[in-house]
Amino acid sequence: MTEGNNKDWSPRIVAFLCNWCSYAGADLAGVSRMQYAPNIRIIRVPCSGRINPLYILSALRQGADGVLVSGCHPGDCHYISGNYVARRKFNMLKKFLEHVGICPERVQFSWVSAAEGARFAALVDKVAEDIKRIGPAKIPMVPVK
Amino acid sequence: MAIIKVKDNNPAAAIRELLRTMLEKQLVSAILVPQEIPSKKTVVQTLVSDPDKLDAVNPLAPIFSINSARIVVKMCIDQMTGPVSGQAVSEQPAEEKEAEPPEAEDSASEQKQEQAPEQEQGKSGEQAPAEAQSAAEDEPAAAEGQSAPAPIAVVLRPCEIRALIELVKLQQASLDPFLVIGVDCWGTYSVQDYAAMVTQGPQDSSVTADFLKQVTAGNFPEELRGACRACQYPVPTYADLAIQLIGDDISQQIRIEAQSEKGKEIFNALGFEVTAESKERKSAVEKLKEAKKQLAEQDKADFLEMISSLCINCHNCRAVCPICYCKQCVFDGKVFEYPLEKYLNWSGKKGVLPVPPDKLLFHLTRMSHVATSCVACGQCEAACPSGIPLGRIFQRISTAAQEALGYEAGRSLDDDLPLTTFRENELSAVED
Repeated sequence: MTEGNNKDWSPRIVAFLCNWCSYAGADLAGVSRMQYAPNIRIIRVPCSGRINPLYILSALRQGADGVLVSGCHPGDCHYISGNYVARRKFNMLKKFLEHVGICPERVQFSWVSAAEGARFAALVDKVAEDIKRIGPAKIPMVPVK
Repeated sequence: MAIIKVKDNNPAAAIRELLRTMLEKQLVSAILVPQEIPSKKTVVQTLVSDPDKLDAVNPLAPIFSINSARIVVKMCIDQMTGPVSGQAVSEQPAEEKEAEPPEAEDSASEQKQEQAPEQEQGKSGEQAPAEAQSAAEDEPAAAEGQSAPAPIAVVLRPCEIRALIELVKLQQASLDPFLVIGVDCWGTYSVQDYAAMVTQGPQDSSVTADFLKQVTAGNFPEELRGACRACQYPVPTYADLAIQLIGDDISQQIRIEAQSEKGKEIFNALGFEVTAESKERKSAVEKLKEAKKQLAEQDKADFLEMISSLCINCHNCRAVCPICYCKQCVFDGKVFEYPLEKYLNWSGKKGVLPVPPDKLLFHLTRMSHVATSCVACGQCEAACPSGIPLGRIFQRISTAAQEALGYEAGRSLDDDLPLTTFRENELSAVED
């Protein structure tokens, strides 16, 4: 399967959402009956700081076309500073994704609070659109075309 | 800062004599330093406590077989965990194995001396009669109890020191028992290249001398290791005593500088005549870095393809990496053992599945673990049986990651590890 030749393809995006803000934001989008792209699979985590880069890489390796990570806005972390540490970690991850040859846009970070249902819906639409533009992930790497 | 005269165009011998003096004066209790094996085909790290066993010492040999920060970590095990008897006992054999002295005879004597440092003190005392009396009369155990024991000198390259600093910050090592002696480094050959050069080279000249002649003239040999070609750290970032070669005519003289309180004590005890800093040194170091930068830019590698095609998943790179310190690696556990069904499922999804399936994931994970502390020593590259230029890849990636976080691995003991700290207003570009 090469990029772009499959019209039926729609991206599969794994979303890691923090329990206290972004997951509640997604919930709000749901109960408010907002429409957004059906491409995401949500995994709830205690805090964005809890997300090991290995999870993100593992999702990509197991066939996800994109990964979305979302937590509380800076300063609003339920655990005071988890998202600040997460921000550093993800910044580093992004840096080497581009060097390694994986499009850094496949992994996206954003902050969504529990009150931002509309923001969450818009974010998912945007991420889905981005991943659609990039095309299906070439990971796991296939040595022969 | 003092100048040490070099005799017979042999700076390694000058360093050897300096170390010998330190041992004889009992300023240090032992020295961890590389020595040439009798066939001269390689050097091994040795822990020397007898000044007469320093004859083959050559810290300038352009060969890099192990990142000695790993050895220092092994020697610190009981320092880190407190005096737990079980761990202290198990540490002993590991230390001897790593030291690997050139001769079996040495090994026996060294072992004896390690276990009984007071005997060694008595022995060197015999050679210097004035000291003999005091050393022999004192109850050695009591004498040691009163004042801090003399430190163990460790002679390290800049990249080894940087790795050691990172390991201290990662709470894997302690600098307390050690006196770090840093030596300038122009680069090294691989173990294989070095051995081949010794075999093929002329009888009357040594590989070390040839190498020093070339690099001091500004020529970098083709065979230089990939990581060394791009190295931006020819000078130790931290040392108690720094032995400075760059910027001097090393056939005539080398310099020694005390860079810490601990270093100053030893420096003063050695009784050097204090001189001014070399004027050429700064510009010479800059010039060297610039030349290396040029060499590095010629090098481009496609990481994804290299890993997916060349890696055989042997995990050698992890075994030799000084920063990979975990006792139990996630890749050794059951997490990455899959049932057959899962393999078929993955294969079915894309029609073809390269196996083993987690090669790239292993490298990416290792990268995310070490990127902030990677000192680009290139041992991973040397250990790779498939010749993947891991050292250069990690160098490029870790430099980018460290730059983004405003950190430099091994720069100083005072910088916080970048993933243990944060600033409230930073990196806003990450978010959309």
